[in-house]
Amino acid sequence: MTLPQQSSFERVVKEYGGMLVRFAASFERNPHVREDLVQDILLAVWQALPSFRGESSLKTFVLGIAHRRCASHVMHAVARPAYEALDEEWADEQPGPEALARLSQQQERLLAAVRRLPLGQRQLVLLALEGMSYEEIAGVLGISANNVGVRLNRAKAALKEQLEEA
Amino acid sequence: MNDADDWASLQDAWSTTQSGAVPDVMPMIARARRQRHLILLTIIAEWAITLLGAELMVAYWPRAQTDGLMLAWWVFFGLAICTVLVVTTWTRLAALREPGGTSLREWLGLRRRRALLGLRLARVTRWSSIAMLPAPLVVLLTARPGWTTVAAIVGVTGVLAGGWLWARHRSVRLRAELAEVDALALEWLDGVSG
Repeated sequence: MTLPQQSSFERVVKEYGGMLVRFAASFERNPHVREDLVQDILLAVWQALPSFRGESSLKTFVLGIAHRRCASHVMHAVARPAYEALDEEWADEQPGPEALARLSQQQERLLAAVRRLPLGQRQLVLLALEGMSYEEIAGVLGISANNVGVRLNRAKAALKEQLEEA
Repeated sequence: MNDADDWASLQDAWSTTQSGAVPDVMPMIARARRQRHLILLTIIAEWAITLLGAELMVAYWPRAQTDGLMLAWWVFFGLAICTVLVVTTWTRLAALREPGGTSLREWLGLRRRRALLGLRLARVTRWSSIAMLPAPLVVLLTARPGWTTVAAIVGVTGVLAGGWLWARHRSVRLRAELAEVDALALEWLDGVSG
């Protein structure tokens, strides 16, 4: 990696590290596995950075990679039967004092509600919560902006239901 | 959630959520960089050894038995070695790079095409191994007597059995990969991967 690439990567970690942790937390409750997932995403970003040509914003580029990695992670996790038991055992569904201090009540409810959404809706809500436009989400998923609009409205309604139930 | 203000407040809450610290990835990046160098060196060494082998084969070609079926065997052997080398090199180089600007649909399509290509290659390997089953017998009938005959038969049988087992193992893995890609497309994109 050349020096500009190294500094680009450091910029990604600094500016988007928190976003990537949030993203990973929405798909993985086990904090240990989540850390591995974040590392996996960052390694993928490091590998992909030389091919970044600025066709989209750096945030969209990074989110696209994170999104693919999370999709792959979820499918691998589903394929591992022993994984669920471990996940339930270590799950931080009820956050500890440290986590509670970090998260306000609204943030805690929001994270829990997002995690309860079906995967197809969860990804849309996450990308929208990160401030991406319909066109950017369409680019990340490879579907039309109209389709994004329709599905995102459904996903938002589902999120509202989850928040009201919580 | 139609209320724009509600959504904006959720976005604010979300953007300040800290679900944990960003792990220190620099040691992992340093390790990945070392692995990348090692992989590139391995690829260079493999090609160098193959070229050396090819040069030796050309130099000693008049001394080798190349009549009739043995010529077919040498052609098969040469093509098999080239295919394995090209595929392993391509797979390793592809693993070193993460596709950057592709969408989830394109990425799934890419994974699907790669898996299908690999599956076809595994099928060709399996069927050609079966077609070449008489090869050890041909070696037995045509090779010069002595321990080299035994070594040649064991070697040929090993190559055929290894190829067949590799193809079988790879087919199972690639079918699982295809099923995973289809499941991902269905779950995340409401449809096929394209």
